[in-house]
Amino acid sequence: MQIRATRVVHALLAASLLIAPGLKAQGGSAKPESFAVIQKEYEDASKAWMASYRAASKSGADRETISKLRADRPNAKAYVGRIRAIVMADASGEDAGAAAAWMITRGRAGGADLGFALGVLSEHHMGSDHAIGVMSSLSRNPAPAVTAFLEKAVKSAEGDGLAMALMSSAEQLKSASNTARRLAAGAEADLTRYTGLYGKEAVDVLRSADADAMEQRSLKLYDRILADEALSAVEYRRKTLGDAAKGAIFELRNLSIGKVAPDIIGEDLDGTPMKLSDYRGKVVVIDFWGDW
Amino acid sequence: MYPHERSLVKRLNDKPFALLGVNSDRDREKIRQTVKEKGLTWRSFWNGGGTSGPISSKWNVRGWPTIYVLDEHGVIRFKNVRGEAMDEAVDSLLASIDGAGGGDQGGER
Repeated sequence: MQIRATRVVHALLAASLLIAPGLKAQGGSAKPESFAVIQKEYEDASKAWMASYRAASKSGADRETISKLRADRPNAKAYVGRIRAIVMADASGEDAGAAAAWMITRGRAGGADLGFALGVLSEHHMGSDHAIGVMSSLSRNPAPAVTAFLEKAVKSAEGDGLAMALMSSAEQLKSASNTARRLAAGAEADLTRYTGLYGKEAVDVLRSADADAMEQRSLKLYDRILADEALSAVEYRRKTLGDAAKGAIFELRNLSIGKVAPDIIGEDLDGTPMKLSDYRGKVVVIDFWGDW
Repeated sequence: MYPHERSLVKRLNDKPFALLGVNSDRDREKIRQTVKEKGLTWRSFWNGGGTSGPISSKWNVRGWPTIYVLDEHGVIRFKNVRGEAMDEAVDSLLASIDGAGGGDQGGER
């Protein structure tokens, strides 16, 4: 109930700010900007860009014009700094929850910005729609700050939020344990790639993290979903949470690095029988693909 | 994707290596045609006509393409390596079969 009430307040607040003229803070103004105004600024810029891009490609503009247009696409990341200032001004305010969530989902904040946004949500907005709303987008981000946020969410969540928190945390721990194993193997290319994606700090922690322990925690969460009929029945990505959990448990137990791959017995595109185990003795790349 | 895989298969033609697809297209006739036209010489399992077919479901595949690299014993050694990283993964496994190993990463673990 409380969640709904704050949401309404937020909507009203947003609406009033949208129509209030002259509220946009100017460069030297002491007053912090409003989240709704910046958000709108970004969305308007995106819409305008989309319109001109569509018009250009419709009118058959040349390649150079198109690629120039593509490069000019408004980047949400460029707004993260200003949005962060709003969160800092009043971390427990309603605007801060929405703004911190925006930093994560739209702004794709990484490194210190991500840690900051998660910290604010975790400390001041746990259980709110804003905190629940960021969870699924974080489930493939192996950063330790994300692990901590989602595990805390599992402890404090109830109702719909609990299903989302359990699944997101289970998925995230699975992904983090994979990443940790890969980093521990020490390939230079992985190190560079993950550092670029998640920052040096996150990679340093993950490199020495206990991958097996994270995997165990992940399995525990999936098991908790399966043990609960109501949770298992919750819809999730065109399946039920229970089916998703079963699939993930199978993957963790049988498809992890170091496991013997389960056999595939089937037929090729022409209908000729084929088996994965026929290829023992060879290095095999299995490529799940489609021509789309 | 295709050109890269084609050159990998060609380069490792005389090595103990196989690229196996699991194809999740809907139209079997059409994909057979595409395979012919584009000269995709490796075999693919038929996933039953969609991304929710039996093989990809069992393997819990939720993103395409998904890549697994197995060593000569059928042990999963790499997941979701692409492009150059896939080549490196395959080369390192082939090198450890050779024994002495020509790759710089030969014989991890």
